[in-house]
Amino acid sequence: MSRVWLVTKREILTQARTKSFIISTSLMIAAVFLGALAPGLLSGLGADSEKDVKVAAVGALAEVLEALEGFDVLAVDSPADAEQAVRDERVDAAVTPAEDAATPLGLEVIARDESPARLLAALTVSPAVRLLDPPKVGEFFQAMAAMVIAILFFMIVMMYGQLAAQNTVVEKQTRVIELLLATVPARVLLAGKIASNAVLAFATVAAMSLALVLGLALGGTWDVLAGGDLGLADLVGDNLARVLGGSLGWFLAFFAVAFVMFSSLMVGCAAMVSRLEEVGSVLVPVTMLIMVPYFLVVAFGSNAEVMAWLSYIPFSSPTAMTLRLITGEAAWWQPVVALAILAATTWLAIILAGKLYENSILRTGARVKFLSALRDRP
Amino acid sequence: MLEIRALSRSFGAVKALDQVSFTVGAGRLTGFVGSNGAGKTTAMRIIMGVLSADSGAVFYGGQPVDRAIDATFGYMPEERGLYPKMGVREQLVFFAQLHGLTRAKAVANADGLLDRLGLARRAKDPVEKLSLGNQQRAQIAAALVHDPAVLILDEPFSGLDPLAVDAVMEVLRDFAGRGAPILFSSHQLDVVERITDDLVIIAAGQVKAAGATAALQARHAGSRHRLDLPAGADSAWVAACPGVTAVASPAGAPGVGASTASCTVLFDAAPDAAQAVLRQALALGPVNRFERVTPPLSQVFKEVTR
Repeated sequence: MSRVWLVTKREILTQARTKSFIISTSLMIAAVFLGALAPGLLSGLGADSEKDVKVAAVGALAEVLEALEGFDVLAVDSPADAEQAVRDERVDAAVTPAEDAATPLGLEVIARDESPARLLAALTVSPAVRLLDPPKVGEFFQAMAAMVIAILFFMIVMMYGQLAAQNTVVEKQTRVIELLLATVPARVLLAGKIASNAVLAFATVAAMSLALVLGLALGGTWDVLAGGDLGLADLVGDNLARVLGGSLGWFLAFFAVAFVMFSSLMVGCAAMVSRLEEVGSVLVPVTMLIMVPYFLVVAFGSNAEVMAWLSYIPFSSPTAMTLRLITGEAAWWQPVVALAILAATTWLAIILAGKLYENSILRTGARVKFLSALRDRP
Repeated sequence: MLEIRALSRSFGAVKALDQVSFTVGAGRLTGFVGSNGAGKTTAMRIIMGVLSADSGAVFYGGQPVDRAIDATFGYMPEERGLYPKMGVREQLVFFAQLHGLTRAKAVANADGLLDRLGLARRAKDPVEKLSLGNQQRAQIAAALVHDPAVLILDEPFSGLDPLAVDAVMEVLRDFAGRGAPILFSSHQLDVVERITDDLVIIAAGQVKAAGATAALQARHAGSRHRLDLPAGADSAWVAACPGVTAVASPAGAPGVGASTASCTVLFDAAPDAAQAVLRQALALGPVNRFERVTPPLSQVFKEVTR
């Protein structure tokens, strides 16, 4: 165990000191932070619209408007005075009794070059609406969550899996592998490599989550999401935090296991080649296992039946099941089953990767054939 | 003592090792020689547990060698390699710890070796910044850093300048002095001849000869003899002696330099005839030296692997 830790520590320290790693990770975290901060700041720029609308009104109408929020009412004596006030730009709009009696409300709104939306909204009457089956989460939010979660998973797995694969080939290319193998068993090296990769990836995810929350909080968007005045709270339901919190926990569990599965497979495959240039091609099968489910989840995000299937297939379950949890489609036992399937597959993947790694890591030169890597011991 | 018993290993149709057996005695510097592809590296990799054998086994102190025992061995692979971007000292400490040493002990060992191998000033530099010779020294340090019980070194002298060869030999003798069995392969037969106690000669996967270097050389000594007479002495009579078949020019013979203090004669003769030559020489005057010529290792090697 302590030897696995030594290998893990060395890998982490070496990686964390690489310039390219520091730069790309900082950029990614900065991008998340700015992305979270921007909407709040940008909407802050348009804050002028939140100022009270200046309205001129005649007689009793002035009193009615005074009672409403958000209006600065100027009482005038006649419709002509009201119109004049608009022309003089003393007010943004005016409300007068309609000259034409056929108008439904018996009112007329006067404005300069643009119909005053807020004033009209205040004067509009809507019938009460009763939804028999209200969605727990708005569809827009669903689509966004699908995209964000799938992309996040896809990016992290690809990025760190490839990093681990490259480090594997570097050890082979620089021949340090033989000295390592003479010191510790191949499975210790493999375990250390996967563990270090997981630690780096999870640390990055944690840092990105922190940047996301900080960005949202500083930009003021957090308040909005948590139930501010844009009415998103109604859209999402008042249990956003609970829904997100619960599915986020599941997502992290799925993510951790699937990450180990994919990075083991990538390291196992990478052991079959001897040059960095070959890493990309030898990883194609694993890359497909990551990419195809990603596209399926994005494409069928709103198709409940396909998503149900995808949520049990171990390669797509991390994203598909998380989404079904967010939308409330999954029963409590479904993620448990999916996670068990994923864990079993991961176990098989580790055995497979261990075999590929042990049998090919010493064979330099031409790419080791898959069957030979499975069969021929070193 | 390290015992290699009947190791066999094939790669596809190629039989790399065929019933290879030999021993490496405690405190014995054992040279492992053979041409390219003879099976040296395969045998060493199997001893280190990096490769598996089809049959046969390796024993250390009477115990079959497993991973735990292998971890106490020091290894210098033929394919040199350390982490290029990692500092020399940091790397040595890492390997020592990986072998199970405490951090304090690992640091002390690393510093001691860097000092002895003349790398102390480069301790913080990444390996890729070192010259090839210094990388080689770092590689040797990596094999020694955990106070190994046994040393297995594949071509430890290749790529070293004469000074470095001496420094490494010094360190190896020191290890042998502590009782560690040391097996090293080399193509440089002159170096092997200078430092080995024992020798294993392998060809085409089979051990052709094994034993004390001096005994092997004696066994392969031919009919050549060397007679040193005082300078200016007459030596023409030697060729006329019965049983003497050839008298060689002494120039270029080993140990015969520009020294004019003595007159050297090299001749081929059967043992009895050679003794007769010696008796006659003594009758004629003083004899500085008389010996049966030890063949150079290169000659032994050629004869054994022929």
